Amino acid sequence: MIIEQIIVPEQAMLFFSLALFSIGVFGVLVRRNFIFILISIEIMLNAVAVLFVAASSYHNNSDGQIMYLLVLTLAASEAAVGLGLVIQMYRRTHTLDVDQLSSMKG
Amino acid sequence: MDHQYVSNLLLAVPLLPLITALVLILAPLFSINLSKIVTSILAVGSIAAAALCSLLLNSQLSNGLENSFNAIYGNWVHVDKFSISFGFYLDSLSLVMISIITGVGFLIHLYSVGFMNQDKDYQRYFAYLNLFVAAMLILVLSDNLLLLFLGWEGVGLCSYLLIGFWHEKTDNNLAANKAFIMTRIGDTGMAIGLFLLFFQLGTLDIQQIQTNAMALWPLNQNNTVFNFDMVTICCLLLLSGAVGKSGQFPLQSWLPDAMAGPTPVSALIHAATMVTAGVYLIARLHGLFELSPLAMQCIAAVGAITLFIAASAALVQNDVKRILAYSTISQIGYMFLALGAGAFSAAIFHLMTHAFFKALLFLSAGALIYCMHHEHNIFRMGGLAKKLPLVCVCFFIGCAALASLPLMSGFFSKELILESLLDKHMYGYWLVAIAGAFITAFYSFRLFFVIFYGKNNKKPDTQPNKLMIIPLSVLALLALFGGIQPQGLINLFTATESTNETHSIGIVIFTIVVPLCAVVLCWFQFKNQVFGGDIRSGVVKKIHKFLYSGWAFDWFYQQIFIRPFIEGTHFNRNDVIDLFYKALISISRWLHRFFIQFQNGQLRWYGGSLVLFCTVALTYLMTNG
Repeated sequence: MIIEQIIVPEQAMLFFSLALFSIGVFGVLVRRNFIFILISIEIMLNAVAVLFVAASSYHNNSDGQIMYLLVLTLAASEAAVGLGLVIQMYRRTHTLDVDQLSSMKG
Repeated sequence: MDHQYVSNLLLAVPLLPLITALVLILAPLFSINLSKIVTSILAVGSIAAAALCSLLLNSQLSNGLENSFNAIYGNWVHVDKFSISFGFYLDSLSLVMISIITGVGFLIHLYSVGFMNQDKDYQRYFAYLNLFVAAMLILVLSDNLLLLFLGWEGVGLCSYLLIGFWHEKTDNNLAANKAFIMTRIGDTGMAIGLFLLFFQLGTLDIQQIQTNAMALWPLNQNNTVFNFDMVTICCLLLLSGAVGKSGQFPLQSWLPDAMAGPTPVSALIHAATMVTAGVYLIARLHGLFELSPLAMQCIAAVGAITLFIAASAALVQNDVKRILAYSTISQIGYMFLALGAGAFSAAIFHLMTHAFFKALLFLSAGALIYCMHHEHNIFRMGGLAKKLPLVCVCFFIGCAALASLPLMSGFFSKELILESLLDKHMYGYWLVAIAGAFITAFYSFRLFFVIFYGKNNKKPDTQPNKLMIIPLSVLALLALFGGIQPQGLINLFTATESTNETHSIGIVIFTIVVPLCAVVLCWFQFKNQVFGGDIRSGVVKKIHKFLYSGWAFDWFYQQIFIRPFIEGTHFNRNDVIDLFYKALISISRWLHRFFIQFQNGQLRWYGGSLVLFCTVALTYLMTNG
């Protein structure tokens, strides 16, 4: 079976990755709910991962794809720890609003 | 003349009072309690010993062939060419001065034991008094101008301490401040004069200065009188110091206020120490001053103006001590006039007789105040001739000497000054001096008549005690017979004195008659009860007020110097220079407020800044890198 290769131009890939990353950043800065911030961070991670894959296909080098697998496992474990912290935080403070949780007053 | 012996003797004269003063000052610090008797013995004994030393020096110098003696005890300052030693210089002038200072000083000390025995600060008083005498002795004995300046400032310090001795009263402190600040104005000029002299002549040794100056600025007969050259500037700067210290015009206004101190202190300031320093300075540097005719004219003018202003102000005062203070200013004015005329020995002679009769007058005034329960106003005394006969006699002798009635001590010295004025053909100054003599005789007998024959019959509390009577009688004898010329005095400045011309007998008789007329006139005025009466005419009232304030000098200085200064400070309330620093403060505060907004503890805000920074930095790197 011949898998038809879909040719995606590199620029489109870059723009897609940039858009994804920007959405993630925007989410982190704008959202107040901690869970949404975590999700936004995941989006940012995935944007980078997409960039890895794109670069790897552009250079005909599989390093980037291996790196993608690494990022994927990292993201999974990070999400597990992050969600665990969210649960703890909610239990202690009954809120997930980061502005209210802020205790870093100078 | 045994050099070692004389130099030891010379060193002992100022050192004895100085050491006693230090002992009296330091003893309370080590919590050593000296009883009153010990204190008095120490204080009076040291001055007595100093007086004895100066007596011995007197005999040594009159026996020896040399007429000056220089003793150097060590190096004080030595920097490159600038070398100052602790050296004492003894000649007939300084000998006369130390004799007056220790002699009259001793009598005043003795009197103080009686006068101050009820004061709680007995020890402090004698410490200051001894320090005062020691500073004055250093002043007159030093052989260079820097050591002289040390004594000069020491005298100023002690006068400040003693005028403000009763420091619980604010007025006394103000008077002390005034004395200190007014003399300081003159001292500043004098210090500049010292710098200038050293810069020009390269030395501060008094004898060296005069020989160097003679060589550098030879007196040119062709020069006009008003030649404003370097020597004149130096002389005028030194004169400003002398004017401040001696209470001469225009810095005289501190002296009447200086009466705030205890009366023996006034006697000491007026007779033996402090105010004579200016006269001494000019007499000591006469070789320098004679090189500048303009400076000599200035000295004479200062003397003439002062003697007239002060004598007329003394006419209308109520306070016995203020009258005596104004009379001192006026008599020092005579000395300055004599100095300006080049009659240095006449000036020193008058200084000596003045020391006797002014000390006598102040001490008898002190006895009056002591007996009359601190009453200063002469119109509230009156009729004391029978109640205090001894004080009355002493006061009469003092007044007669002050008024220069014939055969009193003041008569001879004032006569000498008037004669020397005629010798120098300074007829205008002579007229002022004669007018001053008339006024002097008038006010001194006004004082005498009002106190001892006035209507008011207030009874004295006590009689003066023995320790006050002894100095009074000794001083009375001195005031009576002190004018019989010692041979040494007339030869003080032989080199510079001109030969005496003979004057017509008429002028001599005139000068004798003038004070007598004044006394007679004064008696008639007293009989007609002019003194202390109400003044009806408005103009006379204004003149009276003007004279009473000492020609309104205080008001004048208030308007000219103090008011503009205060207004200037009000105007410059927010100091112009401070504006820069205030701006610095407000800018940093504003920046602080600006930056504090970034440190708000908001997680999202921090994240945003981070993103912003990364974006900007990356953009920059990518475009420029």
